Amino acid sequence: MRSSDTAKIEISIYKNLQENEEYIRSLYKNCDDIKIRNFQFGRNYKQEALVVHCDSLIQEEKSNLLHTIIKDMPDFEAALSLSITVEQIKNFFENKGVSSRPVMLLKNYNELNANIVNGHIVLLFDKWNQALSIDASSVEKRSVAEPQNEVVVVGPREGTIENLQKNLGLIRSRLKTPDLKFCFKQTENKSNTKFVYGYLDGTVNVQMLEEFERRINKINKEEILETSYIAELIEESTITPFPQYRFTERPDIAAACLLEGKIIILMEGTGTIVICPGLFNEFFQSASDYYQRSIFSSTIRLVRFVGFVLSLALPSIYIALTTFHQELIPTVLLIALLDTREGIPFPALVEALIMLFFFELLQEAGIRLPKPIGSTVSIVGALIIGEASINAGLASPIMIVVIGLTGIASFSIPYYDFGFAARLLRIPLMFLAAIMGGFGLFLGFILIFLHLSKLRVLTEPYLGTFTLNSTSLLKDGFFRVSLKKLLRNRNTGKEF
Amino acid sequence: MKKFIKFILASSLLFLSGCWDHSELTEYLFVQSIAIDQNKDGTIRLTTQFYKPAPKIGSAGSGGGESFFSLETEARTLFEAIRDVTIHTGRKANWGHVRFIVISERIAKQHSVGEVLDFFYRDHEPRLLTGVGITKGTAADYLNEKPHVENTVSEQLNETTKTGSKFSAKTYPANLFTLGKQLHNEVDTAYVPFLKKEKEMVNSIYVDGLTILQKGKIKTIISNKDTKALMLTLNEFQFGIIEVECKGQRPEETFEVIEAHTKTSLSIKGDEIHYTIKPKIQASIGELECTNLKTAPQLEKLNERIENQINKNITKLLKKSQKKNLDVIGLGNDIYKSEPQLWARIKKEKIPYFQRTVFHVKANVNVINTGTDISKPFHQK
Repeated sequence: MRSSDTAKIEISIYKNLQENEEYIRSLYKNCDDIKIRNFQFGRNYKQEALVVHCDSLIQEEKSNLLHTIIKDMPDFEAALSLSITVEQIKNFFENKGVSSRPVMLLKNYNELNANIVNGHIVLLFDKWNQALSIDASSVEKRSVAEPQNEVVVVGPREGTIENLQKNLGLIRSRLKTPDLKFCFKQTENKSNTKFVYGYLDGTVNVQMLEEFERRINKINKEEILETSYIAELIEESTITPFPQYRFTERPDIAAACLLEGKIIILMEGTGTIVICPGLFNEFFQSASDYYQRSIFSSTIRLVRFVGFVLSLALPSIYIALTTFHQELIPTVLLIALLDTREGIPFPALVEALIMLFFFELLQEAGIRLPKPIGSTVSIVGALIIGEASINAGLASPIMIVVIGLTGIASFSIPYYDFGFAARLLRIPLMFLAAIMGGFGLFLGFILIFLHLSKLRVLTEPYLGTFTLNSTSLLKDGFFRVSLKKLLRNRNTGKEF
Repeated sequence: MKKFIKFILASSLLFLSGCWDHSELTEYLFVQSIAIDQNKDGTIRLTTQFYKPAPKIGSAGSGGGESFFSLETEARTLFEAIRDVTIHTGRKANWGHVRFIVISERIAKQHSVGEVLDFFYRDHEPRLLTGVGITKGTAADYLNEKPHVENTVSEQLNETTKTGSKFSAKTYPANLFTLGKQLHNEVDTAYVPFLKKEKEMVNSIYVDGLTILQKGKIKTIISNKDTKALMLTLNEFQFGIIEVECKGQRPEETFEVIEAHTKTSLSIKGDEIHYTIKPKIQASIGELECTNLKTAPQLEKLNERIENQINKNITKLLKKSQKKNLDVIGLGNDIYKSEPQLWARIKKEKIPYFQRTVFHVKANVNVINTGTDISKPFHQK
């Protein structure tokens, strides 16, 4: 395989600068952003050197720093900078002399390539089989800003950015303890992604961590562009609609999760933090739950649970009631239903499927469209299509209410991808309800529940928080008890 | 393979379970009310009123047609008449939402109501809480009236009998459940509201007292005023008005019953049956005409006056019934419960026990509220 060939060049750096230059130029053929320049220095400009760097990863002013280093250096080694020789430079760096910028010595082309593409400036000298590498990387990143998808009313407004070091700093600054471990890993292929997993020693479940490491160590050659790649590569089941990992862009959530014994994954180039494992009831928790008073958070959380059930089952409940259990509908409501259903050419199931498809279509279109046009879609969707399909006799007004409520309910879940589970499971439930009514609906619920009970994430049961001996459900499940009780549980066992 | 067979077996459980009565709403016609009449030749004439959905599609649905239609079928039995409905309409009739059943006075005099309504107790669709009423004249005419506020006249009938009994105690909220229960008692005295309507006027249905059935047939029809006394005796009085005459003067004073509980007790002294009725009533003043309430003795006097009035009303009803030997209050049931041997004898020897019973009516009234005005007639300065 060619790709692996280029990735592993174990050729050591030649002593002859000419050879080196030829080799580097052939390696970086057609890479116009890699700058290769010869220069001379020393007395009468007799000392020859080569500087290689990637232009696009380095700021111009930093490459100027290179010259100051060379200028600075001889002060320790030789009296006159003008008379500096390669021998002296070699001597200085091989003995780990101190210079104003950290300098690394490179021995082979494998290291050399890695340094260049990471934004280092590499210096090669004639008659020296090693190269100097100075970190000068500087890629334009956006500054720390509030994450758009996880807005809180009260709480920090910091969000992660596309810079790994900054992100680690944001988390480290919240957990100032040596127990917080960050382990670096790097894939070896084209993307050469650097990613980090972190955990809180002593809090994390050791078995879980072992299993996690076993899986993460399998990732070596894969091209990884986003942390969600890693999440999918290590996830338990790829066909379950329920997400097994949480994603966040908030360092405060990441810190809170570390305190709960979770493992987080970060990556260079993306701000998304993966929190694993993600268990069922954690998807109903939002950062603001902990920043607001517990009585309010508890109420809101109940709304979310109801929202999930509605989002999952409302259309199927409607279908089951109207096609099987008419006697369960209060008479006055039934009369209203009769009026709206009369003249609709489709069975309730088909009607619901059509309107649900409309809704999904609008939702998808709304995401794709640029922001200024995005609002037009909602107007066209909600007002025109909704109203027109009623007038055209395609759907009944009550169905619009049902589907609208279903759609809104799915947005009440803080994690978008968990809402997606409800969106997916809704359809089979509707078919079950249309075939077997309430019996089918409950059959569907039982199947979903069986699946959830069987599901495990990194050795932890997905519904683990729902077991009887788990106090976490009572404290931070359906309700969020006061922090006095919640934090006592986590730490010392004493109430404040 | 084994797994496949297991799967087939498991899924056959689903499909063979009989949960297979899928029907869209538009495949049904929902029966709203039923009127049962009798023709002169003795056949049953069934009038079934269906809800007629008014499609609200676009502007076409805005036409204000009637929201129901009626269908008449005739047959010798009720069930036969019910099944004949399907040959008239293309849709399946659904009996799960019947709100009211009206039976004509004539049929209730000749046939047992239980016999007529057998289908509604047997079939799984009709609800036991469906209201029942007996009409003066042809029952079918009552269904053709237009409702005042409700969607259908059946809803209105259902509401009038229920709220009429709750707030004025002038009728009894009979439904299939209460009727069925009463028909199965030792003394099968059953109470069904009596509906009347003016012939010349439209929308003039009203509840006019109560029909008393025995053995499922009408024995007597009592007035609204007597119904109040009966409800009080039966401990079914919730809210209502009590009118008390002023001495010698025509105007009457009214009191609203806020709370009423009636305790009854039975005692046998030798051969005599003594039945004590003790209504305990909390009342508030509705209208004052000839009373001044300034002191405690005056209040006592007022309480006494109301008590006397109540005693008078109840005694009047009981006397009337005793004359007809009609156990209007279901006294026999009380005897059966506490003195089963005596009841066995009464039944065997057909003793007119109700006529021989000595009634003691002792009302206890407490006026607790004068309203927002002071305790004297408003017109007095």
